[in-house]
Amino acid sequence: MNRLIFLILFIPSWVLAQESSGYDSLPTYLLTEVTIQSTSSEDTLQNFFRANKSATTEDILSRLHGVYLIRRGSYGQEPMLQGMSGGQLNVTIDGMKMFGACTDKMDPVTIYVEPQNLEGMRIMQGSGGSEMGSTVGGSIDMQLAQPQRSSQIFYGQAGVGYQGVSNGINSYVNGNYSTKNSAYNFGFNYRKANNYKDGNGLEVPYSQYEKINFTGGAKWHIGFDTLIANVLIDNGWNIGYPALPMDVGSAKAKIFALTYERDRCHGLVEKFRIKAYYNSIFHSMDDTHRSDVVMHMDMPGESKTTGIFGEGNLRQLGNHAISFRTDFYYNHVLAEMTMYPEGESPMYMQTWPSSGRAVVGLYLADNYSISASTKVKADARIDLAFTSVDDGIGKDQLEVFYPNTPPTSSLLASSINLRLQQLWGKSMIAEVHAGYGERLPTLSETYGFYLFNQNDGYDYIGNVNLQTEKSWSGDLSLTYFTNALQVSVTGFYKYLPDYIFAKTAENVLPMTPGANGVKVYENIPFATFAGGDVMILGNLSPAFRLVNTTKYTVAKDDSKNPLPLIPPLTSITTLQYWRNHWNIQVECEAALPQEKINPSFGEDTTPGFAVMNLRGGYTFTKQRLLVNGGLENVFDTFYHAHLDWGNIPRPGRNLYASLTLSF
Amino acid sequence: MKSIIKYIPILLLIASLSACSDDDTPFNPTEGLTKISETYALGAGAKVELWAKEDLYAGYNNLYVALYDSIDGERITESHVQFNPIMAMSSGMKHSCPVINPEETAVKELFPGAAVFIMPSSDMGSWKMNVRVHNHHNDKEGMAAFDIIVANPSVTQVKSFVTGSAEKMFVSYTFPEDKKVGVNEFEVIVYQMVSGMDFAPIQDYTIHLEPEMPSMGHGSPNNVDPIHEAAGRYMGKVNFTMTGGWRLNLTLNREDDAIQSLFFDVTLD
Repeated sequence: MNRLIFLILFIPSWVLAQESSGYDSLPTYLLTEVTIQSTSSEDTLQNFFRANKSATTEDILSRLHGVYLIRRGSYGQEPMLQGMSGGQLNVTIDGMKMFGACTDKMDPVTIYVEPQNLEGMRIMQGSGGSEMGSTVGGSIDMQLAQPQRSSQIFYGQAGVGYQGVSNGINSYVNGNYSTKNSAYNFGFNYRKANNYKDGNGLEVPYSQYEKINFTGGAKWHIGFDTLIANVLIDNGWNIGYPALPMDVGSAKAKIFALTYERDRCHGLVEKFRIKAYYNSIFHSMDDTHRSDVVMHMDMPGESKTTGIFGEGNLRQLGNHAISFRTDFYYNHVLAEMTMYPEGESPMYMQTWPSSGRAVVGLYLADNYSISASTKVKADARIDLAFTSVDDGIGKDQLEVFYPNTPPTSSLLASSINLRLQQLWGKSMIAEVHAGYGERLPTLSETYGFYLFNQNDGYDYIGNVNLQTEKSWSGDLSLTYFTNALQVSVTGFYKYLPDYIFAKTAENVLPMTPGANGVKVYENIPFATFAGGDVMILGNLSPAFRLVNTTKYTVAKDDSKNPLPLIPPLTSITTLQYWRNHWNIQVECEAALPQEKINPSFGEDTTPGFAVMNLRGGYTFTKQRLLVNGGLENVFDTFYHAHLDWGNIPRPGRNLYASLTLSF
Repeated sequence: MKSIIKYIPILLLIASLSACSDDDTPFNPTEGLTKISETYALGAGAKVELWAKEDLYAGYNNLYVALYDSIDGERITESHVQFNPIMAMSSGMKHSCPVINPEETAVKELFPGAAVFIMPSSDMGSWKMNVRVHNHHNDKEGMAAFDIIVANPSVTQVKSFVTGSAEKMFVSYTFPEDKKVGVNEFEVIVYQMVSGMDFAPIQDYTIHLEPEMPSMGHGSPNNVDPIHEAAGRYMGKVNFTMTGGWRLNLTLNREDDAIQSLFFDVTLD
């Protein structure tokens, strides 16, 4: 990790490209592989996270290269890469698979992790992200902060933050204790936000949330063997979703992991680690605070995942650096809905029938250095998935739609990628990637039963006959860099046969009162995605830096209709100044109007916007105290972004401040 | 590991014991049924037991007859069994109701049939069930007479209407298997009251089935309209997507007659 080099220093400068292990002295610029560091580096004072210690994992994600967020409330936003989200992405925590328990996607697993828990985030776009599982959209791996052996026996941080727009607070403390052969860490975080005010000064109802998070880790070293135990417990409650008809009463996640690592093995394998894990999420929606509820309903959901994986790399073979990963996991979900009509029997159904999926996979990668300036990375993955529904109501329900099809499937998903990097002279790098990937339909897409989508007003039904979604993709990126200027241009094109998309089912009536109809998932012939981004980084003077990123995606189905939930051209420009104990930055987020919309998904055109943020920080070195503050949405602009469901306005002007004490 | 091996013989023993006990369970043909009454069929030398799935009620009732020779007590599995229910009204009028008589050979040692009681027992009148049996052991026939009570169910399970040509029709329904969320076999029974004592199966209706949850206003997809199979019985499929209160809307269509619409309410727990 200490071999980090700066490459893509944009919006706050904390986005680093990682030099892949096993490479020689030439820095490799994996533009599509972005790592952020929350601690180690000296220069992170300038990073967004340090400049805004109250940032949530989502806040950080939203500023990462190529990441967009689908927003349904002020919490629980769903990450998107290059226009792809949900089951198209692998979202993992330290390589562990975890799946949200909410049928309405209120709980992408990113909400169960606090930035203080994280050592870094690894983002890989497209099918190249298949290390963590078969994918078409990419992967986001959130790496948990592990206990560190240190010369300092005990150290830690404590902080408080305040957000004016929502009258919200955040407080946390974390610490690390080490002995000669072991280390332990813990973290505790509490957040509470009230309803925020929009740019017109009006309160946005149901935008509150509250949560606590606890993590603990222990690490024991015995020679070259290391054993690590991790626990994460996250409890959220009273989480409002203004864009949905219900809120979240409680969302409880638990993660337990045990990792065994061995360095310097004898024989072919150089080092490896094995991790066994279990995680569970219990989630319950809540309509008791809503005034316009026709009929009260309980909607609890649960998702449990057990898994084990082994990964490592082989001893260098000539110019080849070969790494491997083999994994197994079993995910089981159940989501229920009970409605209580007045004076009648309760109505019960399973919106996610009690069902499970076991997946076993193998991944191999070869980093091959052809010459000092030319490198090739080839990787391949194969996954075998067995999916089935437990006997009972859920299975019987599915028979209504699929009377002659047993709701069981075995699917094979594979991917293969080839990446070529070429350094030209001293200041130009080209990278070409071509890949094929597949992704498994999610359990929700396979078995979902009358899942109401507030955006288009349709009830969604799963399809037990779904095949994998495929992706043929190509990316090209060019980077020019000098000390004063760095410009990087990336373009991508994806052709996705058997794209999984919900189509209106004629003659099927909806279940939800007032719904427009029923949509059933199917494999449409194909969809296409194209887009690109430009990054410009200028070091204007030793103290001033200007960073701009602009990204664009366009996506169409086989009839050339725009796919829904595709963001317009967006851009973030940051001017950073740092000197001595000060850091100041001015940020401008802007988006063009989005007119390429999918009205059958309930979309309307979204106007463009530009919002300005000011951030600053001062470090009292002696007291080891960091003071941050800022003003977001300086001009109190009333706006929403295209990925915001229900056109719910974003927060208006927000004055925030935070204090961080290191000890 | 050793400790596990130690227990393997014990586990095997337990497994074999439990397997034996399963096999030894004697077959009980009336398991899960309710005995309504028992009496002797005079003249046939037979004991007749009348069983049903639950206490009798106005609507379609599955009935099961168990027959025994009254001398040696042996079970009789070959017999003509005929139901003849009679409602004696306090006004002095008498009438019967539609019945489906069992086959000659017992099924799992019982004679299954059915009756559609078209009204409950009350102050207005009382039901008597006459069962005619034939004892193959002594080749004699006789009649067993039961006083029965037909309850008034909380929701109507038999409905009637009069056609344009003044025929009085009775419509009822049953679920051959216990109803559940999912796909259900569904049977509609249509009989015409030709006279007070004579009910005839009607087979020429085209029935359309439309289930609905009145409290939510939605239905369910992929239902199968009941089609006439035999003896006034129409077989179809009804799909329930959740538990709760459902309404089964039926429209009955017949040539040269007005369309009849009626419904039955059912509750799924």
